[in-house]
This record gives sequence, C-alpha cells and structure tokens, in this order.
Amino acid sequence: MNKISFLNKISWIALLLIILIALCGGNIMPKPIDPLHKISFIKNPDLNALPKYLVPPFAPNNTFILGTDHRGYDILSLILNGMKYTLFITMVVTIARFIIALPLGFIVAMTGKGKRVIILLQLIFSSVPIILFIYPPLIGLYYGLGLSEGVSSGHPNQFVFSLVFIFLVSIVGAFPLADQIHKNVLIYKQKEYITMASLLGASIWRKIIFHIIPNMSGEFVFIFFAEFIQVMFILGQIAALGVYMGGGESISLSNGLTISLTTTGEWFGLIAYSSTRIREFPWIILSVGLFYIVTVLLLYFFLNEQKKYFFNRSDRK
Amino acid sequence: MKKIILYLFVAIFTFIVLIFMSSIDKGIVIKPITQIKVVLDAEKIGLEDLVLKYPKLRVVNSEESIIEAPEGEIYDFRRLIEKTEGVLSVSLVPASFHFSFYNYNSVILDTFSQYTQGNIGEIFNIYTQKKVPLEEYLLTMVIRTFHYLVPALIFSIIIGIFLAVIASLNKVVGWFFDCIHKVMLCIPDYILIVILQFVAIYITKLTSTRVVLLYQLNNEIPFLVPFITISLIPSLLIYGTMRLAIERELTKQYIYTAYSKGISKFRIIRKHILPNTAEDIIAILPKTTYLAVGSTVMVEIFCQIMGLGGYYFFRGFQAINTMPITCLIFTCFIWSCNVLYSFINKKYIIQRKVSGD
Repeated sequence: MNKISFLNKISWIALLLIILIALCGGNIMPKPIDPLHKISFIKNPDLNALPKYLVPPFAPNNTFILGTDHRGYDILSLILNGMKYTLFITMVVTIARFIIALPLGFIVAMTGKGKRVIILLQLIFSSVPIILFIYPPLIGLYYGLGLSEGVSSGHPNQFVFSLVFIFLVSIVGAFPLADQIHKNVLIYKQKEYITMASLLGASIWRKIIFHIIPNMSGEFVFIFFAEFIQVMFILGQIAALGVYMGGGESISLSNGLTISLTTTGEWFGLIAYSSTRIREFPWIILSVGLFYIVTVLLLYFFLNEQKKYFFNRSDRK
Repeated sequence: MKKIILYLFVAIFTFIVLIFMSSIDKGIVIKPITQIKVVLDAEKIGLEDLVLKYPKLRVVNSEESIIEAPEGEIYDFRRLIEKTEGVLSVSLVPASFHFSFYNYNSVILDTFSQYTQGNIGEIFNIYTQKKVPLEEYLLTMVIRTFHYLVPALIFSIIIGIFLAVIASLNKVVGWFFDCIHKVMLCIPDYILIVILQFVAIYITKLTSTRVVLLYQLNNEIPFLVPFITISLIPSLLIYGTMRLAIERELTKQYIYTAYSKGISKFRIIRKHILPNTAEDIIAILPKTTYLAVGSTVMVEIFCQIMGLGGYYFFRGFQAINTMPITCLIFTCFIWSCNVLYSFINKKYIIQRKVSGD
C-alpha cells in the first residue's frame, strides 16, 4: 500500500483550507461591506491635529487591520468575501479552456488530422504575450459597454462582457493546452492495450473514453491545477490593467474623477481598483497581493505533492 | 531554412489574428447613457424627494430606483446626486447596444488597406490634439524597449545558470535557493513591480535623494526596475530547469567515475555537467524569451514608459490601429531568438542519442 507522506497530508489540508475560507469568507469577515456601512468621513482622533475630519481610504490601524477602500469598507472583509468569486471565475475560465482543448487534443492525437492546424495555432498564441492579444478588444468593450462606470453584475451589458471575456481568455490558452494534451495522448496511444483495442475493432471514441481517459486521469488533475494557476496569473495581469469581470459600483472623488469599485471584494476587481493608486494607497494592492501569493503558493504546493505521490505510485507499479 | 519559413508564416498569421482580435470592440454600437440607478436610505430621502430636488430628473423605474437625466448632463447629475444626503450609492445604467458586423468588417478592411498602402498607423496625442504617424515614434520605442529587454534576457540566462551551479555545490545553499525559487514563482510580475517601486520609494525617503527612477520623465527612462523585473521570471525558469538537469546528470555513471578520479565537484560541474546540460538550457530558452517579453509589457505599463509594450497605455496618447505592428515586432524578436537558439543547438551542442532510441 502506498504510504501518504506527511507533506502530502499537509497539502490536502492546505487545499481544504482554501476551499473553506472561500466558502465561508462572507461569514468570517470582521466588518460588513454593505451600503449601510459606508463611511463618508470620521472625526480625527487627534483633536489638535488638522484636518478635523478624515475621509477614507484609511491606512491600516487598530480598527481596520488592512485598511479601507474609498467607501470605508474593510479591506480584509472585502478580500475574504471576494475569494469565492475569484476562485469561481478562475474555475469557469479554466473549465472553458478544457472544454475547447480536450476534444481537440484527443481528436488530433487519435486521428492524426488537424495536427498542423493545432501546432500553427499554438505557435501563434505563444509568439506574443497573451495580454497583447486580449487586452485591446477587452478594454474597448469595457469602456464601450459603459462598464467603467461601475455596472452591477446582473446587467445585460455585464453579462455580454463576461461572455466575451471568458471566450477570449479561454481561446488564447486553449490551443497551447490542446497541443499539450495531444502530445500526452500520443504517448498513451503507443501503449499495447490501445493497439489491442484497435485490433478488437474499438472506435476512436471508445478508446478515448474507456482506455485513455481512465489512464490519464492523474495527469488531467495536474494539468488542470497548472492551468488554474496560469489563468489566475492572466486574470491578475488583465486586472492590473484595469479590466475585470463581475461588476461593481462607481463613486466620484473630490477631484472630479470617477472610480469603479467591486461590491463583492472580488480580488481582480480590487487589483484593478488599486493598481493605479500604488503611491497613495499602497496597502490595498499589497493586501490583495499577499492573499493572492499565498493562495497560489498553496496550490503549487498541493500540485507538487500530488505529482510526487502519483509518480511514486507509478514507479512502484 | 524550413524553420525560418515556418516562423515567417506564423508571424504573418499572428499579425492577421491580431488585426481581427484588436478590432472586436469597433463593431459595438452603443447609445448614449442617460439613466442612473440610485440606492437610497429610505429614512432620509425617497425617489420622489430626489426628483423634486432636481426637477430635470425623471423617474423611469421606481421599483429599481432608476431615474433619467437629460442627455449630455448625466455626469454632472451623478456628482450632484452622490453628494445628496441619504444617497448610499449611484451608478450609471449602461445603454443598450448591438454588434454591427458591417462596422467590424469595415474596420478590418480599412486596417488591411492602410497597411498595404504603407501606413503603419497613427498615435493620437491628447495634449496637442493631433494624430502623429507611428513612424515618428517607432524607432525610439524600439531602441527604448530593447535597451533593457536584451540585457535583462542575457543577464537572466547567466544568473539562472550561475545560481543553479552554486545551489548544486552546497546542499544547504541549494535547499535555501529552492525555497526562494518556489516562493518567487508564485509572485506575478505586476506585484513584483509594485514591491520594487515600494523599495525604491523607501530608499529614496531614507536617503532624501532619488536613487532609482521609477517612471519615465520626459526622455529620462528608468532602467533598474525594468531590468530586474524582466530578468526575474526567466531566471527562475532557467534556475529550475538547470537544477533538475544538474541533479539528473549527477546520478550518471561518468560522474561517479570522475569523482573516483578525485576531481572536485566544481570541476565536474564545469567540465562535464554544464556541456551535457546545455541542451536543456537551449530547450527552455524560447519559453524564457516569451516570458521576458511578457514582463517587458507589464513593466512598461507600470513604469509609464513609452516603449513598444507600454505606449498603448501611455498617459496622453491613444493608439489608433497600431497594436498589430508593435506586436509583430515582438513576434519577430521572439522568432529571431528561436532561430538563433536552433542554430546554436545544431552547431555547438553535443547531440546525445542513446542506442535503441
């Protein structure tokens, strides 16, 4: 029996911790983040100092451990509440990539048809940073559909933008993924049991469903997690340039500028909001960045431990 | 030769795909925004009170608290309503839209005809309110971008290999470097740029002198922050690859023979392992080049540098159909590097083939 190492168990605990915090974030957040708890201004605690009134965002202090945003909402509460939306959006994009890439990869590997098309598309989308492919249409759509004004997530424009967003981010990553799957499947195609299945008259789909997928299931899990982390990086990059999915609200500042803010605390929305305010309000992007880095670190840790366990088990067989 | 033709073909296709993708938003036809959605504190103010206070407003949907303002005055009214007591939040209601394939096709055809006429696009200068041909800025942008991209890429290759060798010589150092490697892999490039900017600001505050330039100031371009950012992720990738390759080679029989002859570990790594792991480095170089270009784009945006990647987001300028050309330059750079790596691999790297392969 294959013994599960201590680190492997820790990695499972880490993954469960991420899922638990994501699901319960809204319940464990220290402060509420609804419109009734907005802070417009507070009296300066130092009665002798100027100004007499302070307006948010507030730097980290005893009341707000990670500070607040422009509405006076606690950043820690926003991050905890927004974690589930962040992971959900990332999951949706990753699954969308797999929906496109898996059938393509399988068909190309098993039939040999379309190999050059896949390779060409993989080369095209690997030749230029993905951000340059998807940012111009997204930013045009984002402003064109009026989403920079902080539109709620239920609005039809937000829905259309989300669809286009998911489609673009999925399509640019689907072909390199399809190429990777195609190469992996080619290795399994050489196995004797596949040859036997062909001799017995099994169809391509039967071979894929009953022979290849069960044997590749472990690899799919690794590819999925690796792709999940990759998608988190890309969505974070797009957010750093001011574009995010999910909607929010807008507020006007005293200098006449309008800013769009996430209402749920979704991390990419927070990154989009804070990336242009690094010098004035650094705590916002640093707080989000910290949670982001720790989440990715734990996911990488889980992925590496499962790979070790899987390959040790395969070697023993 | 075949590879050069393939890469040329890919570059042309990439260019065409970029034109199609960058024009998607041009097909959207949207009406002007005239409606505002408000969230009110019912105890302090109602929708009717708001309309009474601002007679030009009209209630469109009382259930969803949507009001309409005169066209052209929507932003002024939003600012007024936000400052009204009892108003909790104000958001503009986007107008309806439709996608016009006619507009989309027209834009694409115009872009193609523009390029066939030799016009590579224009940049709109917001300050002077004038369109300037891209040619006026292109050479400066190319030199600007490559003056830190190329040194950073070369530096990342050298430092990645160097640190991997150091890590392989000492177990404790190796374990420490591996831990840092794992943590650094989780940091996205834009957060890294933020951290570097903070460090620079902190040092500047301590020393009261400008130590590191963070943003482009007229013609003064930052170098250190872009250099470090661009070189970091490729060097992590090369370090990881080299560590695995060196560990793999250290278990080979010829290494044990070398040890038994009394050769030092450093000499073994230098004379035996590095030449045999060169193929691994060459295999990973295309990916590191791609990552370096990606980091270049991000750092130019964050440091407000008017380079090939950052001009599109540069304050005061609006790019008009120039993205495909600048992306083509990046593509050509990546593919040129790939051709160079293939050439080096064929000419100088010992090809290992075990009998029976």
